[in-house]
Amino acid sequence: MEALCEFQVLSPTSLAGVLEARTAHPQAQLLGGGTDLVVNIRRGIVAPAVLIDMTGVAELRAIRADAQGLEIGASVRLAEVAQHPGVVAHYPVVAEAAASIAGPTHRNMGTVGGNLCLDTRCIFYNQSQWWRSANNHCLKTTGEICHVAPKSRGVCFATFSGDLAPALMTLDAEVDIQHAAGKRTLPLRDLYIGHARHDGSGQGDGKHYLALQPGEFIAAVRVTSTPGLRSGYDKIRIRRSIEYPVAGVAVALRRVGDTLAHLRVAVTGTNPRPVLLEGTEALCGGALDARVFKGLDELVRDQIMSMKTTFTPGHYRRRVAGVLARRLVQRLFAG
Amino acid sequence: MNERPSLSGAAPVSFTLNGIARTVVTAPGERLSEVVRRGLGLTGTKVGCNAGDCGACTVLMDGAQVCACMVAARQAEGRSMVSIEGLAELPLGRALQAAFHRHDAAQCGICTPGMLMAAADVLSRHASPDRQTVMDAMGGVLCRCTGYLKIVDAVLDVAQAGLQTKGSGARPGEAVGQRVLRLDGAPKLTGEALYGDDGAPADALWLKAIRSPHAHARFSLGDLAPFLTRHPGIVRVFTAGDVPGENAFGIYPDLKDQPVFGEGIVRHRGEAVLALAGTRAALEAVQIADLPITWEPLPGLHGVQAALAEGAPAIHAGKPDNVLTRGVVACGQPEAARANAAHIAEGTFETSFVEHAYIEPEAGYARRVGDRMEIHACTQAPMMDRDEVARVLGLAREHVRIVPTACGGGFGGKLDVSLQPMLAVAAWHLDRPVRCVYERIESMASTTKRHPARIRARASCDAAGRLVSYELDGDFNTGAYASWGPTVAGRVPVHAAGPYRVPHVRNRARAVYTNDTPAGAFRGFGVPQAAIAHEALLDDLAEQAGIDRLELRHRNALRAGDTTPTGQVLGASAGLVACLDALRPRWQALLSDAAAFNAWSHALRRGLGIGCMWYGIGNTGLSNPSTMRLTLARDGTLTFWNGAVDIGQGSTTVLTQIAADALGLPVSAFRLVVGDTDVTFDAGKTSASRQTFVSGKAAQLAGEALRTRILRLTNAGPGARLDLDGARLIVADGGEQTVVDLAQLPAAGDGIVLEGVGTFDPPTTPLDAKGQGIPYATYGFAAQIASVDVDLGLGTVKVRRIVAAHDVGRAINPALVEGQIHGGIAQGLGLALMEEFIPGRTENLHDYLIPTFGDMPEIEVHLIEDREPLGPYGAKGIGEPALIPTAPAILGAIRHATGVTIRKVPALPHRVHAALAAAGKAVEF
Repeated sequence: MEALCEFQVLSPTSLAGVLEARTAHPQAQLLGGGTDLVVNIRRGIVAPAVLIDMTGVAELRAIRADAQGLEIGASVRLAEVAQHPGVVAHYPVVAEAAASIAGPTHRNMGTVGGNLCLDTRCIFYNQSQWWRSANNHCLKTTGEICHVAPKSRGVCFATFSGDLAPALMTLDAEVDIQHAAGKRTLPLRDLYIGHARHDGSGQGDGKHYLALQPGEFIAAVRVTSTPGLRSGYDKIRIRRSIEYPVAGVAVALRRVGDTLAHLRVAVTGTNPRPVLLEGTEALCGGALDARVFKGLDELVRDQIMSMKTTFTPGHYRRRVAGVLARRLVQRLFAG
Repeated sequence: MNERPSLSGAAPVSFTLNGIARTVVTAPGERLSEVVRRGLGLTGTKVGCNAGDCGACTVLMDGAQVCACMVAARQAEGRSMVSIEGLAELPLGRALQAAFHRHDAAQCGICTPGMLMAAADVLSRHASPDRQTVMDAMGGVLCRCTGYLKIVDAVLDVAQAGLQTKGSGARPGEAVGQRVLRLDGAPKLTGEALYGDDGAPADALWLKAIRSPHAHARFSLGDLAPFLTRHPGIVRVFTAGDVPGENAFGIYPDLKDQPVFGEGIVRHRGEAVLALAGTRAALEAVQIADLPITWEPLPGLHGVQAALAEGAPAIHAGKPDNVLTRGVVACGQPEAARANAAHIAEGTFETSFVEHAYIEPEAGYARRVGDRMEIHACTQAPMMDRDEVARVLGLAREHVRIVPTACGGGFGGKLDVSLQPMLAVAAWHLDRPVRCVYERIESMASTTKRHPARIRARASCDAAGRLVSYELDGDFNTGAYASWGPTVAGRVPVHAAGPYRVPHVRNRARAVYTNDTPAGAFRGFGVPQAAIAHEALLDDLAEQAGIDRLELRHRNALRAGDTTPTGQVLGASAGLVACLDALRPRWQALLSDAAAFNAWSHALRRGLGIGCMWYGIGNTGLSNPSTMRLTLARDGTLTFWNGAVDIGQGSTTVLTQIAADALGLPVSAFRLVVGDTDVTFDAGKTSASRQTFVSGKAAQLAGEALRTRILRLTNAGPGARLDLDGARLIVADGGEQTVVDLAQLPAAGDGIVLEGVGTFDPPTTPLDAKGQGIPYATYGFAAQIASVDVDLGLGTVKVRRIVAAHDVGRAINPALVEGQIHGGIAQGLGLALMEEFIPGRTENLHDYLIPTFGDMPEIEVHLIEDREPLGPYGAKGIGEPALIPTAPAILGAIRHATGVTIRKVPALPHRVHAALAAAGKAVEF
């Protein structure tokens, strides 16, 4: 048997209750479906004394999806997102991403907030206490160096592998961030700070990957509909279910006549953050031709930086992320 | 002991379970799975991984399937839940159970409760789901036995036919060949079957092994007293010094090289150095760092190349070159013959460690009964466990009793002892029952694997495609301890040239010690690895000779009357030609299909491959007898005393069908006693595809012996019909009818009045220094076709269809044979495409990938019945033959689709992509 970590679970039913619990237990961690966190607790990776169960918070359980917009509370289950007729009809990239996560049991428990904040992963991190104790704990836990990049000088390369984030990022989603004093709104892309730069810019990495301040949490994610937008999600996996993405790609684009009028591409499973490719606007305005694909290749090559954090080599993940992106763009453009 | 973690901060949780309102005091940190199993004693919900990776613990929460191991108990507050124990109360619940039974959708049964809950979820959401919907919606539950397809069939059956529940029974004397429903199936469908962790005496203590996190290290133990003072719930620490007998176990009599507890040195990561016995809560609070163990890590030898390198240190004294054992088969003059051959193919092939991934981790309990030791645990080999435990305790083997629990999958992994010796040592000293269940990580880190192979092979043929020579050098990484290494090294050279007539052969295999996880028995004992090589080389030769791949195999197939490379003349039952004939129309149709598809497809290429195999049934050139016993008691009880363990493959059902027909009474008349070493004879281990052939023959002989006694008693002729009506045995012979009142017959002390015992030991001879002899009495033959689509942009491979033809001699129970084939194909697909155990890395069920529902191809099965005269009603074996051809067929199909040969399995997308890129075949779209 594995060493068992004891924790206390608080189950607030209202937003006020959550804030109260957070004030009382500043070190508490938030619990969604537990499909990742509970496993990590068992592995001794994290040892929170208090968990605040968010799944019963009434204000966070609403989902609204129609031709005007999309708003999903943080405690909405992934299965609900995948099956919601409004999401399927108007925001297919979100429905497809949600439907592709792990397996049915995980989607029935897992929440939108949990998936957006999914802990970054690494083969040196997602291991048992027993394993890590014999392998010099890594930077993301209590160690001094990143075993993936020993010369990284304090930068962690653990990989973000949530599926929902890239999908929502291609729709220019915003997140509502709640804290004791109120609420702030942030573009979803800015939630993820895992740039993993060595330049001392103070940006985050695989260890500090979310732009959340102590006491803050995600209340909802919101999208304003763009008429005529086509979107889709695809990912590489080695088997059909119960697997983190080897690489996942979300694309949203608009076609006007024969012109590519708008393009967003986001990638997961590669960097310490989901990457909304910068520079796709420059590829728009003309036909979908070799120039666009060449440009897209360059953006992937420059911005996707996958390290040996999973059992699949980084260069392969980057390469096939590019292939998936090209295919999705082509398929969506063709309609 | 239904005790749970310490109750500091304990709080009551109220929920509804199976319609009953419950309030349970739960400990902080407790999971719903623990509350249900240990708190409420409902052990129908199984725990396979404790990490949400396997789905065995799936329950319904407010109608939705969830893994109970991932639900913090507090999250169940106010919820309504259903576990397997409440399934029958759900709409369609009983129909699902009946359909699972009817379709043989439960083999070992450990995933079945979770499967049924997932199925109930699917049917509550979709009135008439299609196949894809079922496969998608059940994708959270893993099954390692069935290959999933019969589960899908069962769910669709209920969806389409509603509540229809009729089963198929067999008429008396006509059980053989019938799809008799699994005799031990019902308890697996209700959650009542008791597996290793499902029961123990109430006063049992728990045991936890402390294992080395290092692959190679010296260690010393400090003073344990302060540790024990700090952990009052821990009763005692057991180390090597506490082993009363020999601190060693192993499969071969002369190779007891594996210690129960390491003595100053550990040779692989996961090796046990000591064990703690105490309350569960106390053990759960222990971290390895709490123990006064000083480790001195040493450089390790990883992989055979390191172990065979010049100057490599010896892992075991007495094996200075780290070669555990060598095997050879040589006939003719391969070098000279090859020089004159028209075509030569050669290559180097590599395979990886493969984990059995049975969903039930090792579990059980031991108790001391006077001066005897009793072990209740999941196992494939009770008599071998008995002898090992006796040696470790220093007892006569009669003083050890093994009572197998239901076994939640084995596949070779439960042939070696695991927790039994530790439990025995602890229970012996404490004189108190001691129980243990391995965590998934512990199970994967410490128990045996399939041997990784590095194979160099060369084959040649003449201009007409007739094979001339075959040469193989194979090195098999046996890890830190011998286990079944010698079996692999012995079996591979016999089979390595494939199921073909090859006049000139020189096959050599070595099992090599390393500091990796011990490799042991896994469905096929090295033959699946060797088959990857011979089938790739045959494809090469076919291409060189310009002969269709199936036709080349047909031309070379071993037939009755042919001589094998060991000099054995096959007397009968060599049905490969019939298998290939059965496949030929499908081969041609699927070739056309692939050509048509590829004519317009760009990035997706379709390919077809074929794999053939043969497999010797039973031990290699060694005696492996089985004895079966049937008794009639004076009260009319007909008992089948059967020592063969059913690990899900169905031997309990198959052997009873055979015994029933041999005796002439219906299957339903039998009371079954299975596996208990105190009351059954040695049936040998459940391995080497031997139970149907060897124990089946013994069961037939036992049935005939009892029948002969009855016929003599009544002076009836051989065609007489028997009926059992309470204690009245009615013998009808022509117009004559004799009634025997069993109560009036003289009885032994146990009330037994008539008995039939049968023993069968397949006739073999040991192999000589050149590997010549009769290693097996009979062989299974098979051929499979795989149709795959390869994505040239991504390197991903989707297996679309497998067409399998298997010569099983006689299908005693066609449904169970199909189940073995489906399950073998699933494991073969895993071997080919995704399964790679990396010691110290992929020690869980989401980094180590086994196939899920959605990975399964469509499967067509053709059963070829080329009767084996020695076998029961002509039957041979199927367990291992089912798996062996699949990987070669898939790899051949990848090659056909792309022109690229994959030489290292698994053919993960990045490996396929790299091979495609190297060949200039990768595409950007």
